[in-house]
Amino acid sequence: MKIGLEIHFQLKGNKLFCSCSTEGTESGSAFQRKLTPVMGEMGMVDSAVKYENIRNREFLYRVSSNSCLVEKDEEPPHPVNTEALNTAIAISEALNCKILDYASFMRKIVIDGSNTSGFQRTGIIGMDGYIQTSGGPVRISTITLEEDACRKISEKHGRAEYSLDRLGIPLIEISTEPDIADPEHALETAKAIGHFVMSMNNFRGEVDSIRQDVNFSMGFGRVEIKGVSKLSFIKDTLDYEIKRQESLKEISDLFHGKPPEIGDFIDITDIFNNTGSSMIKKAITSGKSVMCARLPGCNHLMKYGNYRLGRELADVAKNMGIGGLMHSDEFPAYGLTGEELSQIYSAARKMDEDAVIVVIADRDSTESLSPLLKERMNKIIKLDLAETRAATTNGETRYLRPLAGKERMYPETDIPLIRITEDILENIKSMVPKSLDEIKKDLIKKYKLSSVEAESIINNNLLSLFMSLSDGFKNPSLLSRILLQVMPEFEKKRGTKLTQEEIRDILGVSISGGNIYRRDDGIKSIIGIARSRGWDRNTLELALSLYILNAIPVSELEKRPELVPLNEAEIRGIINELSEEGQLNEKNLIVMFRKKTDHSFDPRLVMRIFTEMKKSDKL
Amino acid sequence: MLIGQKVDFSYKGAEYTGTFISSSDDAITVKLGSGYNITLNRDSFKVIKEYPPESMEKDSLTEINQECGEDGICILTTGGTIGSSVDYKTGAVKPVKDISYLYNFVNNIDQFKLYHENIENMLSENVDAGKWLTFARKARDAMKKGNSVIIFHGTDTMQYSASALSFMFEEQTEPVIFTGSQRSSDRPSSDAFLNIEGSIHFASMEMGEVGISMHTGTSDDSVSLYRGTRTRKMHTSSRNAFISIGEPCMAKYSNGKVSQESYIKKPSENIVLKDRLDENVGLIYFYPGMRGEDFYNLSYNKKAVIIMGTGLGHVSSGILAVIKKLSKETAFFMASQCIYGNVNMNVYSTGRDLLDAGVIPLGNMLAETAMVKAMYILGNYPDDLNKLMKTNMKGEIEEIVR
Repeated sequence: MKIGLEIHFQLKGNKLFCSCSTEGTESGSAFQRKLTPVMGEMGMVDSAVKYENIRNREFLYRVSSNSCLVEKDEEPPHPVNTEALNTAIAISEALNCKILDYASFMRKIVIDGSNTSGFQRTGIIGMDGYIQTSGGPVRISTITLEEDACRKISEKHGRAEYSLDRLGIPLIEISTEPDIADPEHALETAKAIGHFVMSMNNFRGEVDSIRQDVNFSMGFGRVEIKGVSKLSFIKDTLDYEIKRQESLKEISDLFHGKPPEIGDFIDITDIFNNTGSSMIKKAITSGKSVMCARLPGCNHLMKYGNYRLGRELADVAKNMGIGGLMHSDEFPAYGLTGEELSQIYSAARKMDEDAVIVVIADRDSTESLSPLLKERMNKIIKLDLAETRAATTNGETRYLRPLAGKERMYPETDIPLIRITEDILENIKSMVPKSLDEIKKDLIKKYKLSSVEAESIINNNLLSLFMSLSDGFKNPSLLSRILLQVMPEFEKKRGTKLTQEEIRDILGVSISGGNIYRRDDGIKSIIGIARSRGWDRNTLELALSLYILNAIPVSELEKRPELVPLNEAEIRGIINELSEEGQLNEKNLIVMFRKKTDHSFDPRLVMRIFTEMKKSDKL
Repeated sequence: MLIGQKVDFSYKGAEYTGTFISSSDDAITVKLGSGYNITLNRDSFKVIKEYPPESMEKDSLTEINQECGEDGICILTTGGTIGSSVDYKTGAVKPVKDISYLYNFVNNIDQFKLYHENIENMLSENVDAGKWLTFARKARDAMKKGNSVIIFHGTDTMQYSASALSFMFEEQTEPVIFTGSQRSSDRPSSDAFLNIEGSIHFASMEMGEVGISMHTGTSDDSVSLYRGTRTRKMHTSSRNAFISIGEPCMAKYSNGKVSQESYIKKPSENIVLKDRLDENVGLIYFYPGMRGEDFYNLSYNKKAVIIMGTGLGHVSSGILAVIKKLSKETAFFMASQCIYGNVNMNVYSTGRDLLDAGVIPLGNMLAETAMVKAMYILGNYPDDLNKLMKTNMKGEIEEIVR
């Protein structure tokens, strides 16, 4: 088994080839385009590019506030964003790559509409590095700097709709060699690479800022699985793909590698003149035809046990904009009657061992679908499974298009070569992210944290927040407790995550760094109030509880009586009350005390007073 | 190493295989197996092994430069972005040899009889009056065989060439359509494909005029036909850079159908081509503080000068003095820098003084069109220059100037 990863991560700030911000909202206007397959520099049209054209699609682009003529493909690219370039160089250094003497950008033809230009601008920055893992070093083949594609909004009736907001966001792609042994190892490698990525100051850090592609092969050709959205899905996705290929191997064996010949589509619309199936009725009214074809020897291979041949074929139909491909393994379904089924089967001349597929589409689409289905069946039975697949959100994969070749790469003539000078390399040294091990050691040494605390800070992605706060805060271990325990605990109790604004209220700063005692607008943070009031840990935690759980505004916290810690006399009074009410001992003291009062108090002080009172027989 | 030769090389201690693409004094560019080009310093690039050069694959696209046949549409290519492609090995821009890939995507392309003749390969800033004559004669030859004509042209000076042919063809039997592209045709997003599709449909109209076929908007849903004499490139890079100034376009093409939007002249029975141009014409952009001697040097010995004045058609009093000095030998005409609107020299005293000095206002005629028109009139009707400049001949001027 061979597994390789391609990890993409976005940078925030400006876009790669214009000065638009990486953040934006929709503006309301839109425009429409088409893309035409063109010849690569060797005079060939790439097979993936051709495949897209068969789909003959229209693209609608929604203009966003963070786009200009460059995103609209109405103006040549501006000079490259040097901050993004420097970040790519720093990451390349961190992953032990050889930095190229020049950055040169290429056009990678992509005509699924996700780029208005019809290509993605991409350039190699570093090559030939490695990352250490428990399973040995995993080689890094390339690190590229590229522009992100448009965000897809919808796709229907042969028209895809995209937003320009994501187009042009700087994207760094880290590709490994297929050195990864198994799904578990893939997850570990992705995490290790992810650490370097997330420790960059300008890592974008939004929900979709990291995307993983997985390259996988178990001997039947290389499969490129696009867009595994979460780390945790890498393993699920690979497990699914292994099962899928194993089951296709079984099917191929059943046919001894000789593909069954899919019959031609037969129009059976007439069967459904009086159908009770509302879905079919609706489709026929809208001018579509019902067509069926026979798949010899495929009975109980379409969807039965581990077999899912039906889905393999349905993916092709789906890519052409034909919504559903139904098949005999799932019948009776879709409201079809037994009478209708037997008419379908007799029209298709189905024998017991055969399967039948049914599509509802216009005749032209079905005509162009037919050869594609035959081609796919041939590939599958011959176990040539190399292709590009998409990861789904439930950890599965589905067919997207043929693998793209090198024919789709040609030079971006609008961007001059950029020389990576010694000066640039020197300046970047301070940006190069440290490895996890180095960071852990630093945390333990500098802030006297325990090894467990240091690890939790790293694993919970709190590193940059902790670092930005710790310099302005004298008590790192309290900070680590607030970040690792107190805040997560309140989040759990409340059931929702803290917002950026809330974190700002509590800790004074957003992730960008600064003074912990005041927000950047000068208003005191809760930590700041704690310092000026001399709150102890318990009072601080009570204040946080009021703020997070009871939504008491920061400005009112200082006035809250319960945040004035109880003095000795008040504590004595409460202990007296408690002992009159019943049995009071060292074990239940603090719990009972807490029930009795809303005010903050120092449990150690309560315990001391209780012990004193007991000794002096005042209880 | 030869271009396209496979080579093993080392770089910073690691070994790679690639294809040699190009080299400069300092750097070498190779293409890796992945398709990426990388560029490395010459002194860090060490050749390990050069493979024998493969017999260079013959360019499968042999040059097609047929003469135009009969009763079809003849596409004349002259260069520009639309008819060029980048040679990825050398980086040079070459003419597209087989242009059929530019229009093969057009629906029902089989219903059109298309011929292609390459007559030039130049960037349009290098086109001059001599080339206009060549274009016009080639267009006439094609028309004589019953073809309508499409001319692929660089966009920068398309409006000048279209104006020149508009005037020179006093009568024409078929439409002559200029088209071009703002994004090169080797990009999937190129506007060339739709512009050509539009031009093929416009070329199939009943029309005896010269037009320009370019995108209507930024969307790939409509192409407009603009009158050759009233059109201007109004944006450096966008698809909808071309626009008719102060009037609607002639026709629109959308979803396979042409709709007429304003007056279009019907074809004539015969072709009348007046292929003489007198290039001794100047076009001067006035600016604040322009020195009299500079204006003098630009105008001296010219038969006609088109001034792009400010606002309604003004120049400074210093320039007025120079005009007075030269106006016996040189005819001066006034157009406006404003581009939109009419010149009117009766509103302010400067204008009236210019009129007194013999400067002739050109109404809403575009300055570039006026310059080309002056060349044509001086070449063919030199005695009627002043009168004809004010007369609408090819839709270039709204006749409010008496």
